Amino acid sequence: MSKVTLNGLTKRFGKVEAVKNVTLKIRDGEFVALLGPSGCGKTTILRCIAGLEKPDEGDIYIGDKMVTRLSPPDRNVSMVFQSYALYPHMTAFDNIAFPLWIRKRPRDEIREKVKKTAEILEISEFLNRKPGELSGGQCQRVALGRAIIRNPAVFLLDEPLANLDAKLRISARGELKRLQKQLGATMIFVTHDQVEAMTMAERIAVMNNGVIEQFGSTDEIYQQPANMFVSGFIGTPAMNLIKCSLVERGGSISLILDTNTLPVPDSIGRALIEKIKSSDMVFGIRPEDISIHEKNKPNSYKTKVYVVEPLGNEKLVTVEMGNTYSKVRTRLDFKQEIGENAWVDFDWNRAYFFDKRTGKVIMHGLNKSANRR
Amino acid sequence: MVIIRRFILYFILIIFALFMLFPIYSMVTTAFKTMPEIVGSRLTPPTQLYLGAFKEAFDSIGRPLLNSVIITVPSALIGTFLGSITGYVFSKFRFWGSDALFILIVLGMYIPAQAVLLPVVKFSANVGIFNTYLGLILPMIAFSIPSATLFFRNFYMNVPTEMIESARVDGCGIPGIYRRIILPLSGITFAVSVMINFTWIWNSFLWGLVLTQGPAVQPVMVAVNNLHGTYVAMWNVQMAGSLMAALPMVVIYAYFGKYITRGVLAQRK
Amino acid sequence: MDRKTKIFIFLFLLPAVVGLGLYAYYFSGWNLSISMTNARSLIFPAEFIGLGNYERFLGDSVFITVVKNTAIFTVLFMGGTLLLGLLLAILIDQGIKGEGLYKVIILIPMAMPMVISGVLWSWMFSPRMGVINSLLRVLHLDFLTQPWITSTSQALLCVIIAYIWVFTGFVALLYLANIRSLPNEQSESARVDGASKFQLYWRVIIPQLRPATVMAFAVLFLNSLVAFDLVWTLTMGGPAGSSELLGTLMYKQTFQWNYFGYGAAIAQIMFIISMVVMVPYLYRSIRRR
Repeated sequence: MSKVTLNGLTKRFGKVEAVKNVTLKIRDGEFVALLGPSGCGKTTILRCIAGLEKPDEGDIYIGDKMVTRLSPPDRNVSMVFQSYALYPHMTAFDNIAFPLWIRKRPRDEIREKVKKTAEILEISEFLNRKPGELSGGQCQRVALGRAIIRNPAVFLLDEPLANLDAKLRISARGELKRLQKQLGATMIFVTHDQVEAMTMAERIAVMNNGVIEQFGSTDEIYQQPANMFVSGFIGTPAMNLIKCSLVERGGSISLILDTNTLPVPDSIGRALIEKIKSSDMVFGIRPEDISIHEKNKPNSYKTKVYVVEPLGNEKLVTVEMGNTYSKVRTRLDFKQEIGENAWVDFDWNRAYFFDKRTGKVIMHGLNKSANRR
Repeated sequence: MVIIRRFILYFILIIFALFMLFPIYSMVTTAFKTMPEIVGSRLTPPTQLYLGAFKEAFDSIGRPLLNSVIITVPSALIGTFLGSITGYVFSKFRFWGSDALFILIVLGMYIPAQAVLLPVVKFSANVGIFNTYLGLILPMIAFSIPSATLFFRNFYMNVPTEMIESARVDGCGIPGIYRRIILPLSGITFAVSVMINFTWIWNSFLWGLVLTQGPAVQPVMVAVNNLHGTYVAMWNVQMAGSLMAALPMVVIYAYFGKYITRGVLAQRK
Repeated sequence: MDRKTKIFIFLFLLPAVVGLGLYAYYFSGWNLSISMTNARSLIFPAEFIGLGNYERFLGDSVFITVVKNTAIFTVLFMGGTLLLGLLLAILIDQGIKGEGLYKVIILIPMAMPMVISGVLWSWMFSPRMGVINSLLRVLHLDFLTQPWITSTSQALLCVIIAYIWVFTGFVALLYLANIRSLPNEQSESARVDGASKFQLYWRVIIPQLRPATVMAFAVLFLNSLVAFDLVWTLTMGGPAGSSELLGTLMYKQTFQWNYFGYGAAIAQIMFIISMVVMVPYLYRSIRRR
C-alpha cells in the first residue's frame, strides 16, 4: 500500500485543458473520491495515475517513486473500469487470474490466490461461468477480484457502481467500503454521485473544470464548503443560493433580496461587515436549516408556496421569496398548498455567505470565520 | 386478392430460383451422363450414375486440385493473420500518418490485378520464383491483406478500448494483448476471413494463368479452363471437372455462407 | 506512446507495408514505366516512347469497339443487376416460407468460381448442343433459338446475362440487409397512414437504400472494370472482338502477342479508372466511421 502524490498535473486534449495544475496528496491506505460533474477531469486524473494518459506537465508519485514516465504495467496499480472490461472469452476464474497469469506465476499459487479472492468477494460458486452468464453485480465483483488479486500499491476505480441497478448500488457501497478497510488499501475512485462519494470515501476531492475546488473529509466538504460550487454540488437537495446585498440601516443589518428585506442577527451582521469588500453577496442555506410555518411568527419571513413534494417521511416545499425560489425540508403535517402563504425563518448559525464574484466563502455561521480552502 | 398476390409473389420467386439453379442443375446432371445420353437429351436427369467423365476430368485436374490446395491454404491463413495484426493496430492506435497509411493499405483492394501483372511476372522470373508455389502464394498473401485489414479493423473497433486498457494495467504488452485478448475474441471473425480469402484465392484465375506453365504448379481454375479448351465437345468431362473444382466452394458456403455474406456485408459498409 | 509500443506497432505493420508496398505500389509504378516503352520481351531492353502506347491505343480501331462494349456491358450489367436485385430483395422482404434456404439458393452463383460460371454459361449458350436452345426446342419454340455466343451481335449480351446471374443474389442480399436495418416503426407508421405496399416501398423504403446501392455500385463497378475470367472462358472476347473488354484485350496484347508496353498501357488505364472511382468511395466510407 502506498501514498499517491500528484504534483502540478496538467493534461491537455488538443486545446482543451482537461486537468489544470492539480496537486493532490493522498495518504497511505486512504479511501478517496474524485467527485465532480461529467467532463470535470476526474477520469483523466485517474487515467493519468494508471498511466493510460501521459500528463503534459507535472509529476505523479506512487509511494516515493516517481512513475510519471512509467508504462501502466510497471506502476503496480490496478484499475476497475466502469464497464468492468471483463474478457468475455474467459471464465470468471481466468479473468481474476489474468494479472497473475501474465506475470507467469506458478499454477498452484494462482489457484490458491483466486480461491482466496473469490472467498473475500463471495463469488466462489460462479468461478466457472463466463461474464455473459453473470449478473451485473457478479461482474462487478469479478472485476474487483481481478484488481485485488495482485495486491497492488493503489486501486483505481472508475465509476465502480455506475453500472449497477439502483438497489444493488446502495448495498454495494457498504461492501466496497468494508472491502477497502479489510484490505487496508489505498483506493481512489471516480464518481459523479455525491451521495456515493459521501457514503464511501474518507476524503473527497471535489472537481470542476479541471481544478480541485476542495479536498477534505466528508464533514469538511459538507459543513465547510470552500465555495459556491462545492456547496451547490453536495447535499440533496442542494443548498439554496440566494443573491442578495447587505445593508446597514439605522443600526440594524439586513439582507436585501430583490425588493424584500431580511433582518440578520446582529452578531452575524457585524462579523460579515468586517469581512466584505462589496455589499453584493450570495446567501446560502440548506433546505434542512430553514423552518417553515403556516402562520406568521416573530422574525419570520413571508413567502408563497410554489410547489409541495411529499417524500413519504417528509415534505419538500419550494417557496417563492421575491424572484427566487428556495427549497425547504419540513414535516409531513405541513398543511399549506400551492399558492398559499407560508412563513420561514433561518438557522443563522448554519448560514453561509459567498462572494458573488469569486464564489469563495466569506464566512459561515458555524464559526463565523471563513474557512481554509 | 391476398391469395392471388401471394401466388404471384411465389411464382416470381420460383422463376428467380430456377434462373439461379438451372445452370447448376445442368452442370450436375451433365457430369454424370455419357456423351450419347447427352446427345439424346440435355435436360433430363441421367438414367445412371456414369463416373467416366469424372475419371477423365480428374486425370487433367487432379494435380492442379492439389496445387490449388497447396497455394490456397497457406495464403488464406497467412493473409488473414497479417490482416488481423494490421487491423488491430489501425483500430486501437493513432500515430502520425496512421490514417494515410491505412487508406493506402486498403486501397490495395482496388488495384486491378492487370495493373501489376506484368511486373509481377518479370519480378518472379528475376528472383526465380516464376512457376513455383511461392511465386503464387506471395501475391495472394499481399492482395489478401487490404480487405482482411479493413474487415478486422472494423471488428476490433467494436472491442471496448477499456478492455484493452484493463489488460495493459494488468501487465500485458502489445503482443500479449493481441495473443490473449484480441485473438481469442476474433474466433468466428478469423474463420470468416480465412474463408473469404480462401474463396477468392481458390477462384482466382488470371494470376495462375500468367504465373505458371504446365500442370506442375498450375492451379485448378487454369486447368478447368484448359479442360474447356481441349474437351470442346465433351460436355460431361467439362462439367465433371467444373463440379470437382467448385466443390470446396460448395462446402464452404454450405457451412459458412451465412457468416460470409454477413462478413462481406460488414466489410463493404 | 512508449518505446516498446512503438516498436511493436512497427513490427505489426511491417509485413503489410512491405507486401503491399512491393506487390501493389512498387509494381504498379513499374507497370507505369513499362507502359511508356515499346517493350516486346522480358529480357531485352526497350526504348522509352513516352505516351506513345496511349496514343496508339486511342487511335486503334479496337479502341472504339472496347469503349462501346465496355459502355454497353457496364450499363446493362450494373443496371440489370441492381434492378433485379432490388426487386428480389423486396419480394423476399414480404415474409416468405423458407427464406433461409432461398437466400442460400440465390447466393450460389456468387459462390461459383468465375471460370466455372464461364464454362457453365458456354454450355448454356452453346448454339447446337447448348441447354437453352435444347430447352427452346423441347418447348417447340424452335423459332426462338439463337446463335448466342457464336454471333457477333449476341456474344456481349451472353456475357452480360452470365454476369447478372452471378451478382443478382448478392445484390439482393445487400438490399435486403439494408431494408431490414430500417426501423420497423417506419413501415408500421406508413401502414397506419394508409400507404399501399407500392407506396410504402416507393416513397419510404427505396429512398433509404442509398447505402446498399453505393456498396453494390462499388462492387459491381470494380468487377465490370477488371472483368476477365468469365469473359475469357465464355467468349475469349470474340467472336471477332464483339465482346472484347479492357481485361481481355490487355491479356491478349501482353501475354499472347507480347506487346508488353501496349498491354501495360491498357492496364494503366484500368488502374486510373479504378482509382478515380474507388478513391472517393473509400474516402467516404472510411470518413463516415
